[in-house]
Amino acid sequence: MKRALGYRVPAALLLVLGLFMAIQYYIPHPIVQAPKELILQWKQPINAYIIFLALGGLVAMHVRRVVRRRERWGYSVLTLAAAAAMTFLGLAYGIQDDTVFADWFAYLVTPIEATMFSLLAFFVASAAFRAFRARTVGATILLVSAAIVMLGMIPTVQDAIPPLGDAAQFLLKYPNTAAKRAIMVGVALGAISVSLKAIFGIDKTILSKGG
Amino acid sequence: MDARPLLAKLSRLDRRAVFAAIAVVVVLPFLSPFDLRATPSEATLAFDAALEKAIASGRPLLIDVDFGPQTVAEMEPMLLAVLDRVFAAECKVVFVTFIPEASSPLRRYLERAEAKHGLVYGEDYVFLGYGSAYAYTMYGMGTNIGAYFHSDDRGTKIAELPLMRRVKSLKDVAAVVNIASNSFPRFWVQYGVAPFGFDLIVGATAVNATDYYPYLQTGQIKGLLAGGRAAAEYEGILVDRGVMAGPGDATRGLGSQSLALAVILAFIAIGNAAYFLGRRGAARKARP
Repeated sequence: MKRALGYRVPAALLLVLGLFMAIQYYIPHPIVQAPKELILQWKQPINAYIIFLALGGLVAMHVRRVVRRRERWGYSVLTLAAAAAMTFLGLAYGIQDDTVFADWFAYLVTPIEATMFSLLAFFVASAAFRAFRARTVGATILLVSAAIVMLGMIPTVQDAIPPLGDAAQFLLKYPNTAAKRAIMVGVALGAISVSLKAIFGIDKTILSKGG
Repeated sequence: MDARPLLAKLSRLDRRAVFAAIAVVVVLPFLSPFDLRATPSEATLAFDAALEKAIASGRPLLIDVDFGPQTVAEMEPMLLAVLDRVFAAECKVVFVTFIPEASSPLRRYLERAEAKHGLVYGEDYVFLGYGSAYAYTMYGMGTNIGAYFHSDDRGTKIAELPLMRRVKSLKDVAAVVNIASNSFPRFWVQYGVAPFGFDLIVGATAVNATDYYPYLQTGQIKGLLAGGRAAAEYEGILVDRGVMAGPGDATRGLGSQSLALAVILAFIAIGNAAYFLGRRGAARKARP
């Protein structure tokens, strides 16, 4: 019984629902489309449940760090305090424009996240200076392509040397598209293979503990 | 003159000097602006053409805004230019987001647009709010928006909003415009364009935009704004047409972006010159 509930029932559900969602693409009849709509709508409450699980996991992890006085546990206190404060403000006063929640988001979260992301420009410049070398043929091709695309993005350079702008667009449009498409097709084939293995129970790890 | 000692010295430059150089060239154009005008790329022209076609159809648009504070500098000018264009043309728009952190900024943009263009909420535009389970919701919206959004962002029942009586599903919109700093345009292609065949128009960060060129080539994406530079190109188009009174933030940021690119290229050139001269010197020394 325990084995049936632990593995066989979820595996059977996976088989039936997985095959159904794949097949429904090709059958527009209401008999198939109505249950499809229902399944799609179920995903929203399931997602809400997942968010609660994730929040629970986050709180549990940081509480453990604080209780065990792990390295830099002070940051965990800050995380817990921030999460509690934002949750309280959102639940107590709402999240609309004229609320404290919205102000904290606009004047704390936004500048902090924007600052973190803008640091990338500095690290990219430093890393390019130190590590972007034409050591091999491949690295040289990459470097020349990058230089053409970067130069082609500067309006004054593009106006002064129009072929450079055209070359940048050519690189984006053709070699980039070809490489991206190859990667996309590879990833799609891989995803199909992984999905089929899961649906037909060949890959059992997906339903195992920690899977 | 032997440039090798100087290059060797430059190649050992402290990274703080690199940081300082970038900081100076990013800030300088904002203190002393210089006029830069970007020639529109094919992708930007396609974006403009697709949006104009959608507006000309007279049907409402769905604009999905999926960017957070990290990419505001690149994405906000893009969205503001699109808002100016669609509301100047009195186009009706349904807004939605699939990332929670986009809701709060989007409310502020819409509040400003409402005041600027004299819009009436519920008639000229609607904000559905945050939709969870993005791929499933995108797919479901193709047949029934009301099943996934029972009420809008303000808590009003969907059935009570005049605009939503016209927009029951994605079949009722002229196009979906996705201004996103993540991979959601790809999901719109898979779960929207493929099964329902509507026009998809995308604005993306320069980093992500390279992922969408294959879809642009196949016509699954009708137009693409690729990063801040493309946003400046689009602002230029709207200024020429008299839709925008003057250049926006993307055009103002073009100076910083261009100078930063030039400085990064200069650093790469210095690093490589020092590397090759150093290697040649070492080979010469090793020779018997």
